[in-house]
Amino acid sequence: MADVTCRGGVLEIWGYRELIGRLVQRELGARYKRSVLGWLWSMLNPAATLAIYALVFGVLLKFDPPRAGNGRFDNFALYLFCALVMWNAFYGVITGAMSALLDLGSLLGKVYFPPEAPAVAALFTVLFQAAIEASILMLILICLVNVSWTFLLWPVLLLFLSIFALGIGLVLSVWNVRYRDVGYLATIALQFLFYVTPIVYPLSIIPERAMGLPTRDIIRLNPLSQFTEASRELLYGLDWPGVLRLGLMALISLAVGVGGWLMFKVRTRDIAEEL
Amino acid sequence: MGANAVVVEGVSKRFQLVSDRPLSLKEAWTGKRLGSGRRFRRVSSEPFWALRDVSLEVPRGSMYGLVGRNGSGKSTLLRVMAGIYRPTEGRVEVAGRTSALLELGAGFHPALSGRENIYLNASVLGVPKSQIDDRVDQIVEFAGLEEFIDSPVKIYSSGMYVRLGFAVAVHVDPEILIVDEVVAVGDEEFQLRCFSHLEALRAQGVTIVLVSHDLGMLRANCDRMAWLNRGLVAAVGEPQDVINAYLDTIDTEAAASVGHRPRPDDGGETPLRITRLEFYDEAGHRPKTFSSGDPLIVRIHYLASEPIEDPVFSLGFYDHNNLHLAGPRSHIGGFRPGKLDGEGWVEFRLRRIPFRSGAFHVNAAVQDSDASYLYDRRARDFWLQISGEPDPQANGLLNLHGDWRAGS
Repeated sequence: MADVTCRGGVLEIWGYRELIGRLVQRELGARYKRSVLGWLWSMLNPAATLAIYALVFGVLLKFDPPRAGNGRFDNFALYLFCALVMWNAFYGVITGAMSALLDLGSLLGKVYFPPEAPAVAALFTVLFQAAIEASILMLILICLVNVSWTFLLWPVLLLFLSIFALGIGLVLSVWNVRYRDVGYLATIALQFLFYVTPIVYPLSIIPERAMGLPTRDIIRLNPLSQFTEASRELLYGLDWPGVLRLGLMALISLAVGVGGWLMFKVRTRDIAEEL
Repeated sequence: MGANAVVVEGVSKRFQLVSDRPLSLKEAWTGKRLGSGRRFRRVSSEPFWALRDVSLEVPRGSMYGLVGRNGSGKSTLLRVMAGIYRPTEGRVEVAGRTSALLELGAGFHPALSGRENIYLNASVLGVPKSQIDDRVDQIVEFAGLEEFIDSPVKIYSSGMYVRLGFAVAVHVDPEILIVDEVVAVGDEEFQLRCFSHLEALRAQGVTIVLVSHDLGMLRANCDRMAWLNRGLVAAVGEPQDVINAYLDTIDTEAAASVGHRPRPDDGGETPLRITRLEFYDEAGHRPKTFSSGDPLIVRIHYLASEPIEDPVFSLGFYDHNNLHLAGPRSHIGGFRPGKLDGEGWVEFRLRRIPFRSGAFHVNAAVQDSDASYLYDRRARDFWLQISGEPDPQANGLLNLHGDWRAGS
C-alpha cells in the first residue's frame, strides 16, 4: 500500500526516470532532431556569444589572459570559454527550470508526477549541451597540447554546479508560477550576476579595494566565481584548486541544492490547485 | 497486499477561495492591483470544504461508482485518490499503479502531437517506452485517430481528446483506473466501446473507480457505490440502495424547490413551467418500480403564471445509454389542453409499458401552440424504474407485447 498523501521523497524522482528521459528527449529532439544542421544551430548561439565577448573584451579592451598551463601560449578566447561553459550551464538550468515548470505545470492538475521532474529534465538537457561545449573546448586545448589530469576533475565541478543551479532554479521556478514577473526580474538579476562573476575578465583586473570596499573579495565571495575560476584553473591553467576549495564548493552546492529542493517541496505541495 | 485497492480514511479537503491575491511581485510590493490601483482586500476568504471526513474502501478488482450532484466533491475525491490533490486531513492509500482520466485535457500537452502525448502520458504513469511502442497502434486504433495522430493535440476536438485520453489510460496496464464522467463526451458508439473495455479490464482484475450521472449504467456495472452530498458521504453500499437513496432525495428536493429552480435554457422567467413529473399505475398509486407490460400514466405538472392557450407538451424516454426510445407529443393526436392558468397537470397514458427492465430517464418539455417557442424543458431529472422482465432471454430494446398465432 502506497500512501499517496505523503509521497515525494528523493527516491521518488528515480521512479519517474522514464518521464524525465521523455522530457529530455523531447527538448533535445526539438533542438537536434531534424538534421546535422540542428547540432550546428545549437552551437551557433554559444559560439557567437564567445566570439563577441572575445572581440570586445580580448581585442578591443585588451584584457590580458594569464599564460596557459603548458606555458606556451596565452589566448583570451579560450580563457573566456573555460568560464563561459560554466556560466552557460548555470544560466541554462535556471531559465530552463523556470520555463519547464510553467510549460508542464498545467499537466499537474490532471496527472500526478513529482513537480521537480520538469526542472530535472531541464537540467539534463542543459548538461547535454554543456558536455558538447566542453568537449569542443577540451579538444581545442588538447590540440594545443594544453592537457593534464586536471581535465578529469572538470565533470565533478560541473556536477557541483548542477546541484547549485538546480537548487536556485527550483525555488525561482515555483515563485515564477506564483508571481508572473519573477522570470522577468530573474533575467535582470542574471545579467547583473554575469558581470560580477569573473567570466569576461580575469579576477586579477579587479582592484583589491575600490570606493573603500574590498571589491576583489566581494567578487570572490560570489559562489559562481568559485566555479568559473576553478573551471579556468582546471582546463586552462592545468592547476587544481585544492581540497579545501573543492570541498567548499561541494558544501555550498549541497546546501543550496538541498535547501532549494526542500523549499520547492513545501511550496509545491498544493501546486495542482494553484496552476 | 490487502483486500482493498484504495482506502480513503477520514479525508477532508479545504480550498481557500482566494480570488484576490497579488499576481506579481510588483503587486505584492505595492499592495495594489495593477491597472485599477485597487488595494487587495485584507480579509481572508471563507474556506470551502470540498470534502468532509470521507472514508471509503474500494475492494480490489471491483468497479466502484460515485454519484452526487455537480459540486458535491466527486471530482475532488478522485483527484485526491490519484494523488493530485493533497488532503487537508486524513489519508489515502493506493495499492498499485493508478491511471486517472479526470478531465478533457487528460494530461495532454497541447503543443505536442497525439503520438508524442501518448509517450508522455505513458511515461508519467511509469510505463517503459518499449511497452508503449508495442501498443501505440492499438491506442491509435482504439481512439480512431489514425489521420490526426501526428498533429498537435491543440487542434483536436473535445471528442478526439477524450477518445485519446481514454485509449491511453486503459492501454497502460493500470491496476487502478480512475475515470471521471469524461467518457460521456464521446459519441454513443465510443461510449459503448468504453464500457465494454472497462468490463474487460475489470475481468482482468483491474479496480475501477467511476464517476457518472448515468445511474442505469452504474447500477448495471458497479459492485459498490457511494453517494457524495456536499462533500459528505451520504450513502455507501450496494448500487441499488445507494441509487434509491440518491433518487429519493432528488425527488424530495425537486418537489420542494418548485418555482425557485433557475431555468437552464434561457435563465429568465418563463410564463409556463413544468414543476414535476409523476408516474402512476392504473390504480392511482405511485410505485417505485413498474413492470414491463404494465399500464403507465405520466403526469406532467405545470405552473402557468399567465394564461396560455393550447401549449404542446412532449415527453422523451431514454434508456441508460441515453438512447432516445420514444418522444410522444401532445398535439399529434389532436389533443388540446385548452387555456392553462395557474397550477395543473396533463397526463400521458400508456396501456402497456414497452420498455424492458432497467432505468429510463424521462424528459418533459412544453412549447407554444404552433410548437415554435419552448417554454420549459426538464431533462434528466426524472427516472422511471422498470423491473420484471417477462422473458429474460428476449433481445432488443423493447417488449412489443404482441400476440402470436398460427394458421395455414
